[in-house]
Order: sequence, then structure tokens, then C-alpha cells
Amino acid sequence: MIELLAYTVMGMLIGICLGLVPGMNINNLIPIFLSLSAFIDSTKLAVLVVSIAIAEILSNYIPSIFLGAPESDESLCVLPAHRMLLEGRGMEALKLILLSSLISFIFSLTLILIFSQYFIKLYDLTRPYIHYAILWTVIFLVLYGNTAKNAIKTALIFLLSGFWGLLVLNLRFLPSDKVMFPLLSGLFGLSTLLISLKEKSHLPQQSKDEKIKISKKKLLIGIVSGSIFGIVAGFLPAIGVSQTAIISQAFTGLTETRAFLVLVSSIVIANEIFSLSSLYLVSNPRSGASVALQKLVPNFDSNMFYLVIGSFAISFGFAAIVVWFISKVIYKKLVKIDYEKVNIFVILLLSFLVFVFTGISGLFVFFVSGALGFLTASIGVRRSTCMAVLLLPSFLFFSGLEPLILNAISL
Amino acid sequence: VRVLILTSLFVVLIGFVVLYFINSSYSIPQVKISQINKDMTGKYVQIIGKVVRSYYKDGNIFLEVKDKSNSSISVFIYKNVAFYLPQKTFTGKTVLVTGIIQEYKDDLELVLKKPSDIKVLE
Repeated sequence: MIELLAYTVMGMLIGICLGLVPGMNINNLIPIFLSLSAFIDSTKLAVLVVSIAIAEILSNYIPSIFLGAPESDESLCVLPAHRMLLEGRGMEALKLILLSSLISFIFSLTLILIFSQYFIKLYDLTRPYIHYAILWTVIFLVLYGNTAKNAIKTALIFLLSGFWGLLVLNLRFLPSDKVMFPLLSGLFGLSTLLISLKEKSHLPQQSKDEKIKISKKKLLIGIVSGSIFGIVAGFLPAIGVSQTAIISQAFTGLTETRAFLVLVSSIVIANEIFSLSSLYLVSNPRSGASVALQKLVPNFDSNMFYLVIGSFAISFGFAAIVVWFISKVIYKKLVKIDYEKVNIFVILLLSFLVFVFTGISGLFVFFVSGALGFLTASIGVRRSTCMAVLLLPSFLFFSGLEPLILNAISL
Repeated sequence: VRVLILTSLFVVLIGFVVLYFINSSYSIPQVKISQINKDMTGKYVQIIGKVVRSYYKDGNIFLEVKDKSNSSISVFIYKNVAFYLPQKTFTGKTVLVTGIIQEYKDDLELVLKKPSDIKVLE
């Protein structure tokens, strides 16, 4: 028991460090954890992975807010949080995100535990119609909030990313599970770092008043709807947090900066918990961490689920406190650090890791994916559109068209 | 900014074309079934062998292929792929199968991605 607790604390610390480095996430380390399973008990590694995953989500809000360098899931938090930072309200943004995440954790976990049996039935019932849901989501994402010109640009990026994903995921010389690392790190990690390098932003002085300025009603609506949307999105393959946030924003009308932050951070947490529970309920991993868990513990039963949720909760609670306090220290240090050097270091580190795990072909995928992510952001299209790398192949798979298309384009 | 946009677009398009042609010109290794092991999980391979058992269930096709090394492996053709195949049973035929090695319930199997991944040789 004490050993498991030690792994939870260790995971929390690793996760916090990982989240602080732009472009790094748990997916980058999964091959290492899997190789460690030969030496360390799988249950301990599972606890470590879950603790890292949640602590990383929370600590990644620091570079998201202060550097404008988010993970893909949190990319939609950047604009409102960064806007608050420029107004000197960065610490309030972080406080709001941590509070929403905490309440959403309790609310979404309760929902999942109460309705888990219905989820299994709903999952089986919806399987034959998933491609329709993916199609409607894509149409919505292309059209919603876009001018005609932007909708065309979004559609083009969607197709470009979609066919890039189809090609990369069907490479004959690189297994599809290995290629995810260079693909997603390139699209969301490398491109973010390149944008940061291009923009050369500086950190403004922050207000000492950190009081949250949002009505209780909006906070509650944001958390409840964010948690529900986060769980519902869990049923749809390849539909991520960013796409869910755009759809839920349209439904709830929560467009105001603070309310939107509450909405997105609640979706992130609900989605992560659902990913873990879907592994237990329907043996279907939905996040990098849950894929690792499935490989570490092939028989993921109820005992394992509760153990994992327990570690998740402990890591979450401590990480929230640690993140809050270190954000104050880091903020003061960040003013003195040269961001450009940090970004270049992370680009080199990511390139090295990609090369080690996937070789020269993986490195090629990494750089081209980075260019695609950079292109998307540069022409004013939401970078979450690049999730078409998974959406299009998923749509083709669930609609039964994949074999026909692969034959037609000789892949 | 315009230069950066054009450069990144150029990199993406060139990357697309280069990767497509490298992939097309890559010849999938043909292996004996006895050579297939767990370290090869996720990789594409080709095998030639005789179908000793074949059955069709819920739209999916399951084959057991045996080659000259006297080893056999299961070949799984998912219903999305099986739908486009003109024949659903292959027992007694010699086939050339291209597929991805996957682990299923502690056993290795070959999974087909598209209809042209199985060719009847005789």
C-alpha cells in the first residue's frame, strides 16, 4: 500500500515536471514505461502512469497560460487564458481552471459510477452509427463560427490532415501504434513551439488580486455541461476535447472568457476519467495513458479500476496544490528566462526522442506534421482541425469505406 | 508571414508526395510462418500458404493458413474487407496474404486491411 502511494507521489512529481515542458506529454514516455514492465510490477506502473497523466494535465496549464504553449487537448484554453494573462489576470485564470477541474472531477466521476451500466448498453447501441456522429461533428466544426472563406480553409486543412493521417497510419514500414508519437507530437507539440518562437511573446506583470470573478451560476453551468459533454464525447472515437468544446460552446452559449475556461477545463477532466473507465467498462482505451494501462494490465477489472481512480484522486489533489504554489514561483522565474532557448531545447529533445523510438522515417513524419500544424495556425484555422488525422481514418473505418479507399489510392 | 505559410505548405506537400512514393516502393517482406513472432507485432508481412480451414461468420472471414514450414497462422478478414471479396471461403486454396501481425488472446494472427491483400494463387 505504502509502495503504491510512493508510486502515486512519484507519478505526480514526474507529471508536474512533464506538464511544465511545452511539447512534452505522457505519450512521449509510454514506450519507456512499457519497457520498464520487465523490471517493475505492472500494478505499480499503472498507478505511476495514471498519476503522471492527471498531474501533467494540471501542470500543463502553467505553460498554456504563461507561455501560450498548450497540449493539444488544452489548446482551446490558450486564447482566453492568455487574454486574461495580458490583462494581468493570469493567476485568476489558473485558479479558475484548477477549481473547475476539481469540481468536474467529483461530478463526472459520480455520473460515470451511477450510469456505468447504461454506458455499456449505449456503447453497443451506438457502434453501428458512429460514423454519422463523426460526419456531423466534422460538418459542424467546419461551418461553426467561420466565415465562408474560413470554412473553405478549414475544409481544405481537414482534407489535407485527413489524408496525411490515412497515409501515415497505413505505412508499410512503420507500425501504426509507433507512428502516433511523431504524428501527434509534430502536429501539436512541434507546431506550438514553432509558433512560440515566431511570436516571441513576453510576460506582463500580474495583478496581486487573484479573486475569481465569475458568477456561481455560470461556474455551475460550465462545470455541469462541460462534464456531461466530456463524457458524451468519450463515446466518439477521434473526437477530442477541442472539438467537444466548440460544440458545447454552441449549445450552452458560454462564450465569455471565464465561463469558456470553466467549460474546457471540465471537459478535459471528464474526458480523462471517461477514458479510464471505458477501459474497464468496454475494454476500449481512449487516451495515451489508458492505452498504456491496457498494455500493462491486460485484465483491467473493477479492482484495478478503483485502484487507478484512487491514485488519480490522490495525485489530482496534491498536484492541484503543488501546481498553484509553483506557478507563483515559476511566474517570477519566467520573467528572467529566455523562452527562445527553452523552446529550441524542447524541439531538439522531442526530435531526439522521435528518432530513438521511430527512426528516420518517424522523424520525417514528425517534421512534416509540425509543418502542417504550423500552416494551420498561420492561416487562421483552429489547430484542432488537424485532428482530422484521426477523424478521417476513423470515419472511413466505421463507415466500412476504408478498404475501398485504401485500394483506390494504393495504400 | 506569407513566406512562412508558403514554406510550410511546400514542406507538407513535398512530405506527402515523398512519403507516398517511399511507401509505394517499399516491398513488404515475405516470411515463413515459423519466422513470425511477437516482436513482429504491428508489422506488415506477406505469407504464402494453403488454407486448411476457413469459415465465414457475421460477415467476417477466418482462415487458418499453413505453409511449407508446416507452421500455421490465423488470418482474420474483418467484415468491412470481406464484403468486397468475391469469394467467402478459401479452403484448399493456396493464397498470398499480406497483413499486419497482431496479438489476439495470446496468439498471433494476420489481419488484412484491404481486399487486394489476399490473392488466390491456385
